[in-house]
Amino acid sequence: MEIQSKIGNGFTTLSLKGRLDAVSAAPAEATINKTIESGTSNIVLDLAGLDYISSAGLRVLLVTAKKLSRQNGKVVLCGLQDSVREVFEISGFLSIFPVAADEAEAAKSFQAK
Amino acid sequence: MVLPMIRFLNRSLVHRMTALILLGAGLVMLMVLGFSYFSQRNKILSSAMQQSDTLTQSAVFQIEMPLGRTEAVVQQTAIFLEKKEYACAESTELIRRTLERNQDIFGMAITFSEKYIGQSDFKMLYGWRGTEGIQVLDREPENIDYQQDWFYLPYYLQRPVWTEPYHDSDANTLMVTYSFPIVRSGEVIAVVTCDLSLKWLHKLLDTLPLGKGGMSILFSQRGTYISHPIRAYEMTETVFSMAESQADPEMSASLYQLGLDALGGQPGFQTFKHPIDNQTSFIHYRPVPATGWVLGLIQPQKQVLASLVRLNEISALIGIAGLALLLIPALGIAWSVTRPLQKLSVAANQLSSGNFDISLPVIHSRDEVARLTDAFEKMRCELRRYIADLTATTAAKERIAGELSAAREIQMSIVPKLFPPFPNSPDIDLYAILIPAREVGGDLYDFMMLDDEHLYLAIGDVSGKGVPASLLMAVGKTLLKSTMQSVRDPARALTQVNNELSEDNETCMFITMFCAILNVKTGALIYSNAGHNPPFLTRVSGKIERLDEPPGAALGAFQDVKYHNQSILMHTSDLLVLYTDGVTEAMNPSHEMFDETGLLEHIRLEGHLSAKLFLESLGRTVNSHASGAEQSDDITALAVRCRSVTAMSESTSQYTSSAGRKPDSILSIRNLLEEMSRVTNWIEEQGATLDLPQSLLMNLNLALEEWIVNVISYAHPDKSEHTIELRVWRNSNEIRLEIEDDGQTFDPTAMADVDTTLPIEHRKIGGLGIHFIRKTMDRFTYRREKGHNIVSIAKNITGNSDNTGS
Repeated sequence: MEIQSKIGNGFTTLSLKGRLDAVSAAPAEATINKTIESGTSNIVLDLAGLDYISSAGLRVLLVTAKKLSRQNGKVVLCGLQDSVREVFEISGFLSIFPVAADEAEAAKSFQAK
Repeated sequence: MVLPMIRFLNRSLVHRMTALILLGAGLVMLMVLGFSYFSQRNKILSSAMQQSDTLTQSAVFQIEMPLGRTEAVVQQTAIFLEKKEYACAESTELIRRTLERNQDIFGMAITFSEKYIGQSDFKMLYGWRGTEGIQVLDREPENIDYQQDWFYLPYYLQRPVWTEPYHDSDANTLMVTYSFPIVRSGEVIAVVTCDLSLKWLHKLLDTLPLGKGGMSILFSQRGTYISHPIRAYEMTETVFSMAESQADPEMSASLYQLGLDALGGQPGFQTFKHPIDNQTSFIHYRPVPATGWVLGLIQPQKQVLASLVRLNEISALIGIAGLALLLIPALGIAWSVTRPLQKLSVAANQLSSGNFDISLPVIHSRDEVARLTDAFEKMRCELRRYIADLTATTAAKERIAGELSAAREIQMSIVPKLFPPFPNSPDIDLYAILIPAREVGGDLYDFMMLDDEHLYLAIGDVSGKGVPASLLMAVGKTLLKSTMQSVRDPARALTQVNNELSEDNETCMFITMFCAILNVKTGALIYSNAGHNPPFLTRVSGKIERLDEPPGAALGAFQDVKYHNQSILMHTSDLLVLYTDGVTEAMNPSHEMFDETGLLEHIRLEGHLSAKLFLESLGRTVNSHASGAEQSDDITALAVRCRSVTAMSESTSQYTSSAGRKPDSILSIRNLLEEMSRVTNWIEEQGATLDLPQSLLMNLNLALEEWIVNVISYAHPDKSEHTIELRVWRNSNEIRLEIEDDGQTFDPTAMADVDTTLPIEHRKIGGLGIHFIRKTMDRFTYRREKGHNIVSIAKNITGNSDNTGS
């Protein structure tokens, strides 16, 4: 699991690469928490590099979304691979997470606000 | 006569009291009368006797007077004749003078005995009072009967003798003769006689003052009547002939004896029954010494006591008048006693009809009636208070009864009662009974299809009775059901419900609960027990198994109790029987419990019946065991069987390692999260080896991870190291994985589906993994074998490999 952080205009993009499973969920959560603690309320999660996600990974995303919503921020997902999209679909997360095609589209959703 | 009298007296105290007073006074009067009668009677009798005695004495004296004079005359004459031999003329003169001087004497004679005839110039000189005055004649010896008493007796006895009285025809009167012998040198030479007329005797006796009914009799020493009220008897009858003529032998004998006594020579007194008038009479008799006669004076007792009887009659009349006067005060007393009683009786009648405000009679005295009235007043107050208490108690009782029926309604309305419960699933044979006790015991049962396959079952018993128990029962039942709907794990559900109930459980009430999930397709039964009676599982073979693994604590008793799942496989038509202690502890009047043996016996006999028939006959059996004893606890039971369990046997025959072929690959890992990378590597290897499409591999990977993470996280509460084994098979159209662990029982297939439509604030991750397995795999089954959980997941590979399941 690799996470790259990039600070943009009013939001931070986190690019996730590899597997977000039960094993990697904890370090991933720690990294994301660090980002939030640094003052970011809006996060774009670029999942283009994410090959696999399990319910443990979804939990990290859910926790992140709940935290940010308390700070009037939000999480926007982008770049979902088909297999990952399927997991999101089954879990119903597609309806609770805003999903953009790519990072640029995701950035727009913040500016529109 | 007596009976109506007693009835009359019984009807009224007044009558009875009056009767008693009069009776007492009457008795005293009778006693005084009796005493005076008898004392006076004796006095009167003794005075009458004395009087009669005196009278007899004087009468005898009067009789003796002429007799004595006669004797004296004869003796004088005899003395003359003894001394000197008188010639006829002188003797005639003597006789004449004697007769002239003694008017009593009728005749006089001097008669020489035959031997001495010729001593003088006459043989027998006889002088008498003839019609022409006194005449004296010398009679010839041939005209003289020397054998007659008047001559013979003195001659023979050589002493003077009075003859028996006789009737003299010449004088036409009763006569008696006194004969005196003249003895010279031991020989009787002559006899001097005097004939005494007894005319005066009747006159004398008739004038005796004998009173009314009194009579006198005189009889000779032979008993011949000389004087008798019936003149015809005189000289013809004797006392003895009279006695013998009596018809009654007793009377005859007593008269005979009386005659003998009277002739005994002594005066006497006797009471006897008079033969003439048959009256009890007194007789005084006294001998006349000169002649040996006996004079008897007879007086009827009635006559003697007549005055006494009269006196008593007067006394009795006065007494009766007194009693009549006494009736007035007696009635007065009786009335004064009973009037308050009558008032009290009226008051009591009103009291009995509920009127407590009636006025009681005012009594100023301090007697028994007053005390009764006081007691009555006290009773009225007590009654009034008692009735008030009773009314309050009854109201309270009714309230309690109302509460009890409310409790029963709560209990009955909350358990499912619609049978058959699943008309669309004819394979499920389920029935339950709940017979509430009078004091509701708080039993409960519950069941529900969680999904097409999983049937939730529960039975429980709340400690305590009545409304609190039924309320806790309602809470426990609802809580467990809703928890089971989301948790779908008996042990976890019990743990949660226990924590919920035990928090702030101030009443310290608890529920024993048996909770299970039955997979109606596979027959897998996962259950957990919170202190409840272990159910029985009856195999088709007849074998009965007791699900008696050590249960956890009852719900609500302690916080943080851990419950564990157990599992068993039910085959087609096996019958699972859940029950509460109301069944096994049902008692008969001699306190014998129905017991588990009774239940087992019933299962043995009736276990083949449908659940409905089985439980209905169980109810009857328990009822007949109780045989009328009051039901002390709710009787609750639930029975369930699956008529066709197929899915499990199909899958096991096809895939189990023992029955089917060996797995294509096996991986053993430790229950650590780090081992997950080995699982990922292994499944990817399998994907390459078994030539699996990438998307399928990813789904398999996801399903495996979700379940294994679950096992690692929750299956081993001891946190020690365990092994989890993964096996894979592949055939032409399917790939199948089995994950086996030795952790606590948990059937993931029984878990409820998560709601994926909730907004983000309400979404939870729990249950999502199982949801993934269901969604991505074509088959997801669970079984428990030899203490191990075995989860089997399979995916079809023919057709669309991207099939996400449905």
